[in-house]
Amino acid sequence: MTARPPAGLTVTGLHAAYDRLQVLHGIDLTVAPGEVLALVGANGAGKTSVLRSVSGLLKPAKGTVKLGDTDITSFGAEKIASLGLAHVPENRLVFPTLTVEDNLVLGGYVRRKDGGFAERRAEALALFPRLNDRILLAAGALSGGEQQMLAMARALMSDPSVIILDEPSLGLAPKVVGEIMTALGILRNKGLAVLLVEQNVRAAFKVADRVMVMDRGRVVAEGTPAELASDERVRAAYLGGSSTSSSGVAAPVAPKAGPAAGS
Amino acid sequence: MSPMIRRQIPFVALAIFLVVFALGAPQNVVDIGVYALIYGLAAIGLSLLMGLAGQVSLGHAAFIAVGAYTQAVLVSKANLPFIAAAPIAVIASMIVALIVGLPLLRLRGHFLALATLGLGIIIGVVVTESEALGSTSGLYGLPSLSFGGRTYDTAQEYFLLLTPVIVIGMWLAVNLVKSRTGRALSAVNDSEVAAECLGVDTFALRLRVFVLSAGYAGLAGVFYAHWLTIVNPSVTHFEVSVKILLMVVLGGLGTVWGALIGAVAVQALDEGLRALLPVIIPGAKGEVQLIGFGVILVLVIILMPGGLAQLWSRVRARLSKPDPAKHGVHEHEISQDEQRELLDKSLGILARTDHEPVGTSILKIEGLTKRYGGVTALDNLSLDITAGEIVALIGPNGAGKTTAFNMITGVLPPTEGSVKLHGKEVAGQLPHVAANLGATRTFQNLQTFKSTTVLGNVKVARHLRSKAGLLRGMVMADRAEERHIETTAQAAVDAMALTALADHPIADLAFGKQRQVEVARALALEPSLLLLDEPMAGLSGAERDSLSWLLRKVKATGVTIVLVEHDVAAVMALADRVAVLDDGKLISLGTPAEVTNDPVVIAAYLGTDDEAEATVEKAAAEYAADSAPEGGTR
Repeated sequence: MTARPPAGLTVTGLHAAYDRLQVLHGIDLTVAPGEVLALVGANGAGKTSVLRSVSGLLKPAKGTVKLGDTDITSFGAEKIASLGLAHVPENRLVFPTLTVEDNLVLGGYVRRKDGGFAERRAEALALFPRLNDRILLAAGALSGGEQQMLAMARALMSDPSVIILDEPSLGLAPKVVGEIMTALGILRNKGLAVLLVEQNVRAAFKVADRVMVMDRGRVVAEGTPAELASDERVRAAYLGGSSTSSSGVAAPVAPKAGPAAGS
Repeated sequence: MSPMIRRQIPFVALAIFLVVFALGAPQNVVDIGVYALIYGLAAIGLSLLMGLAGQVSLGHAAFIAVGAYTQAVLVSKANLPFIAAAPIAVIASMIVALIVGLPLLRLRGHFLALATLGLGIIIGVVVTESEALGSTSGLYGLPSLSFGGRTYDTAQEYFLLLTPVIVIGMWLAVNLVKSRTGRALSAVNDSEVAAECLGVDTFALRLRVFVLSAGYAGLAGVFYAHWLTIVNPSVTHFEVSVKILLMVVLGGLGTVWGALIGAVAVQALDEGLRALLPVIIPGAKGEVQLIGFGVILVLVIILMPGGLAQLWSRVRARLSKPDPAKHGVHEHEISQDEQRELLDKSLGILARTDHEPVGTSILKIEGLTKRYGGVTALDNLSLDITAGEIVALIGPNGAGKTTAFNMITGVLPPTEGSVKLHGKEVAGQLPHVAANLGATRTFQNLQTFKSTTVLGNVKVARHLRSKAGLLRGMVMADRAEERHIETTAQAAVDAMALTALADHPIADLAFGKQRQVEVARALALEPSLLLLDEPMAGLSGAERDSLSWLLRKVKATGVTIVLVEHDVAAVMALADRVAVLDDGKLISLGTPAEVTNDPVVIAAYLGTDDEAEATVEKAAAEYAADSAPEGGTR
């Protein structure tokens, strides 16, 4: 296998803006190898902007982003991808007219000179066996859940050490959400650093080791899922679930065990 | 100063500028100006067609020709005075457009562009072959234009005569863009399906704009005929159509002011360069000049794809002071109580009182089926939905939920089956038919109107609740109604807690916020049946709570709600009845409690937490076993 050494993600004092609209006001976060950090918060809080700044799609105005020991703040998105940071965007964005196979091939594009394609392909498909049956189908013909799986498998083809995901549960049936989160748990156990933006707080809390709550471009609360779920103030203001929807946090969940053995 | 008066300033300025130009500029420059204004009239019309109807005419010269030839025949052969002949000539152009547009504008895509291209050729052949129209030499010897006891035969006089025509033509066109019709058409450009679902009859509006744009071209033809005093087949040439098209593209696609500025720029380049190039490059021949002309245009299009209008908006953004609201904090904090109070007030403004009594059947679906080739996306669905209830449609991805929505709202025609809304068949009709009967929807994949603001999006939904037509909009006789649209749209925006974002371009909003705008937009239509396709997707927990709360309030006003949603907890708390689809078939229907305990539903859709956790543990254990020997190499 062509696995690279584990490398975490460190973001320091990140400021970002679209035109003159400032969206991030000093974000600090770290994701260690073998850890899932979930970023939650209302719409427009800046979660997606954090991911975009990290993966080089949005130029930060201030602050640094480090992948392992490498400062990638000023690098372009393609360079960052080749260094081992994979971004699974909001709404999946698979290439709809290409087959599942071709989507995977393109996912491995930044690794095209390194060989090991077959192993990475096998590993990605092992995570989502369902894609094996659909390998020659156009990606656009897959169901929403399968497209999400493909988007993740495609990201894994670049053999990342850090994977960042923007709302992977969007529009998915509960059963499929379970499968996706399960896959994230497996990736974490393999030693990847996982940064997850998620509105489905209940699902996110199950898989996350740590959670950060964002509000209007700032981090306003941080802790383990159990800590945040039992904090009335945070729950009421940011997580919801107080009255009706249990997309929010219904009950404190048990903290996850630390990174699994072997990483 | 009232905004309405402020809106008139540019036109006054334009009028003053044109008059000063006519009086002050040298004769040969004014001469170019006359051509710029004549072609500018046609370009204004074309910019409406391209900007509002999203259609291209590649044969706009045909309409100029129809206007010019009609005018020439009426004046020189029938001896009608200018003022009597001109309206007939304009109407002749419009009738030709009506005949072409009637069959073609029903089709999507580039059929109109091809058809107008053909029309240009046909008109060219007709006038060349027709003895009565003077064949290749055309009709000549038209009298100089005399009107109100004056004869307009110098460039300066003709320019001054054209000035009010252009200013009024611009004024009408700009008003149209800002009117109810303009708003609806620009929405159609952004998302035809969403506009249709809000009740916009896209075909009817496109046809009207096409005919209007031909009218502008016909008027250009009238002035063309009198200025040249000769009309020959050269006016039908493709080059003329391309020139008009260039004016619109160069000026900035679809902006009326851009069209006028583009007309001046193209005419100046065309005429001016021919005089200038030989001075810069001695001995340059015609071909060299044309190459220079082309190169400039290509450069402009590469560097400024948005045309001169784009350049102008950039300059304006530079000059404008930074907006404090856009700095730092995104929006004002508003407490939940305040928000709910605002919502109550908004629903007071929006609530219709004529809903059918609770319990009467309002939507009756029978045997609804959709097949794509060998795949059956929806199989024989029958469902009776009564007024005032909330019905949730759940099921795995690809079960046919959105397909059902699409057929209920007319976005897709069913293969079989019927959908009766308030007793009327809507299956197979266009979405605006269902919207007219009070059914509107939101979309799983965003269908927002990207070229406008949050409030602009919501205003489109007031289309069915307002009446001002094309003409009333053009002469600004729609002010009272526009104010009402503003109030009601604002109420819908407030109801969704989007008040602080009302004037932001919707494209700047986060995904979930845009989805909330779709709900606000649907509410603004004051529907009797509201269909929501995954309204909770992309919303945070707190936002989901607010939405649930809002939907209960909306239901209380008498609105029937059908929603597709994956947030099972929210659905079960909200819905009166739940229908479960799997693989195109209805597998369960009942109260939330009945459905959640149905073993069929658990197996197909819900899954169990134990199951998921067992998988994680199993997988983790397997992986640990697999990678144990490898662990050391990491």
